[in-house]
Amino acid sequence: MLYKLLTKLDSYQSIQTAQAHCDIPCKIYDPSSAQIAALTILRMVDLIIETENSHSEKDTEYHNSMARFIATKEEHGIKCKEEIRIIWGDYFKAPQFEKFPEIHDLTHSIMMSASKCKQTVDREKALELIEQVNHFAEIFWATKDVSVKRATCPYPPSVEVVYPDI
Amino acid sequence: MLPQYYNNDYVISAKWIFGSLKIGDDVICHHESLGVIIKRIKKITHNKIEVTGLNSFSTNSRIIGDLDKKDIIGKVLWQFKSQSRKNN
Repeated sequence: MLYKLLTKLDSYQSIQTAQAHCDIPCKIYDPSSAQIAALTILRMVDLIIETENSHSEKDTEYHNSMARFIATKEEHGIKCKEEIRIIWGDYFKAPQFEKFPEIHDLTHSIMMSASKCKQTVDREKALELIEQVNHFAEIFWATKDVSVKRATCPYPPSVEVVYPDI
Repeated sequence: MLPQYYNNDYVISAKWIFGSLKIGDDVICHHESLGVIIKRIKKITHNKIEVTGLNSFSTNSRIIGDLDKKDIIGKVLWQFKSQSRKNN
């Protein structure tokens, strides 16, 4: 009863949140999730364009496919942003910031690009996002003194991806 | 702060008279890098307060560091457990 009242009050007049900070300090950080999310966005853009061109009749199947592609593009746009934010916010600390001060601007650019990819169906924007996330991965691995290599991913959309060379 | 506090629990906290703070009190405090956090008082020295979490996954109190008394926003007086937790 009282809890419900507080929930209502909270929705009208936001009650300040206190974090308990029980994050498990697992130290597992890897930009690959963000890279796969960015690749998925490009793949969805390709599928949207392909489906649009191949369906002269906009039937139920067309709408169903489009809805699924758009929803997946949206979901991976959010995921890409979240994964990058976690690495930037939780992994990067003063020593890494000092060594790679460009990470702030790059992270912000990724946020902007991923949002643009959510708003549009633009292949160039999706490619731009992938390149930014690749660059983020290069910096991330450099902070761990891990060398990287660039290779074309062996699945659609078959574009260049940064991999740790280990 | 599991198992005492769960996500979406509400607490009521209030400013207190300094002398009334004691080890074991749960407090809402402002931390320079962690923001507003809820922790339990582990140690009180002259003007510093050491706080800790309640489980092995909590951020280490060495990382949190000692807090100034002025960083304490309030002492937890009452807790309202979240509904989802009650249903578990």
